[in-house]
Amino acid sequence: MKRLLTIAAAVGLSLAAFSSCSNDPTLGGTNITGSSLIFKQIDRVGGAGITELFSAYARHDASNRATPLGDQSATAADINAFVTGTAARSAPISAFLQNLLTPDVLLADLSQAGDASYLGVETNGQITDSCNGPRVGTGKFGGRGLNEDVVDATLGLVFGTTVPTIAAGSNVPGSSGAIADDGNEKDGRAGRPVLTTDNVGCGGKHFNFAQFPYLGDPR
Amino acid sequence: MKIARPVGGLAALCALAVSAVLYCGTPVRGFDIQDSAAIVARPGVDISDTYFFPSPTNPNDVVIVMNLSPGLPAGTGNTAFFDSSALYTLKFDTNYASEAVGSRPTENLVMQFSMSLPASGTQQVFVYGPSVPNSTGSTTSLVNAGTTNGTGLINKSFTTSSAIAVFAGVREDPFFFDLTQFYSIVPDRHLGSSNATCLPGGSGTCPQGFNTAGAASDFFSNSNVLSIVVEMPKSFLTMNGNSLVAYWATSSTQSGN
Repeated sequence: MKRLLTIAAAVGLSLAAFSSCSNDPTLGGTNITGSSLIFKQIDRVGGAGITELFSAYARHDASNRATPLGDQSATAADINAFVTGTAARSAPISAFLQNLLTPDVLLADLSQAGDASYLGVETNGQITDSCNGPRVGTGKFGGRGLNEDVVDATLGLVFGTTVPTIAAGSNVPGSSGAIADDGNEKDGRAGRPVLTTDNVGCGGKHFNFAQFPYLGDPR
Repeated sequence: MKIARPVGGLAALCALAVSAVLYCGTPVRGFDIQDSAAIVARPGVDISDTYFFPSPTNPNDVVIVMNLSPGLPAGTGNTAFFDSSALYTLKFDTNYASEAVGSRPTENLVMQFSMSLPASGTQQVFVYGPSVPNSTGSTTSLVNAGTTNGTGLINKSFTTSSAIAVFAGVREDPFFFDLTQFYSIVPDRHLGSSNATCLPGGSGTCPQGFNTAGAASDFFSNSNVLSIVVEMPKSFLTMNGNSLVAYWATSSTQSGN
């Protein structure tokens, strides 16, 4: 941990000294009017840690450079390998998670009232992991809120009872009906390790929901 | 002309910044941090998280957040800058509900951001769109032929010509996770590790579970990110009559490296 923080400090100092390590030209708003510059994607993020949890490191670059259109093949295969292999869950649970988590985007239903609810569109508002107490509204807005414990939500899906609990009432394309509990949860029962929560909450964060831009001031 | 800045200029900038060279060559751990060699070499395009939520202050608005350069330590609030060669894009598919499963999403609305070189302790922020993209997929170009819809400065909120609120600057990293323990459990997710996972199918001797509440710690505590935050009316995303929107964020450069 100490080594990590030391490196992180060096990283911060270096960012103070520069903003680019490449030979790409600097952009500027008024100077590129009328331009036809072409930009190639390097990184992509939609949901929380989908590639990082389910894909081995060697696959990350290809995923980062791809569009979400490819997720239902490549990323779904990664999810299946992790869920049925590493997490030792059943094939139906794996299939549900592949359909739930790909394509790797945030879905939001802007007609729904209340707070954001990670995966709330797909799960019909059945996942509740707001770290600041009860969520306001239907839980069907979806998207992702600043104070949502998306880590615990994801861990519960993969290692816990979430999928058997919510499958029948969800709106996940390609999935229908109840999914049996496979009994392979890693939630502390029968002396098994706990992988359904990292036991970290958002209590140490300084969100300011009263004023844009709502994230906490720099530390 | 800024876009024709000599190649040697930026190369020299990197070469002169000794600490920058350290960053360019030193991998750091992360969940969605430095998760490819290309990103290790270019931390300014490293997207750590993105958020999409109803405005806490205006029920007619939504807020979109794209966080970059994770791991900025405390005290870097006024000294961290965006990559001035990168294009940051928020991508929306407002037709998601009517597209076939397995053949979606495809972006039909984008909002883009570029930044100037830092100068005198600040950095200009340029906003393009929201507009229909010139093309879809993993290559992109500036909408409206590069004509900006708004201009502001890093770390200061401003408003675009279409009344969208924008903030681009340093914020506390809102993400919370015991990342250290995660990589102890599944080291094969981690850059540079050749250790096997300890979970089923692996042969490692590492921990198989997370720490107890008293022992767990937030790896991202007391650290910062570079955030792009926009607040826009919901109507900007529902103008075609669909309330369901798919969203993701990308970072790009001309070289792709």
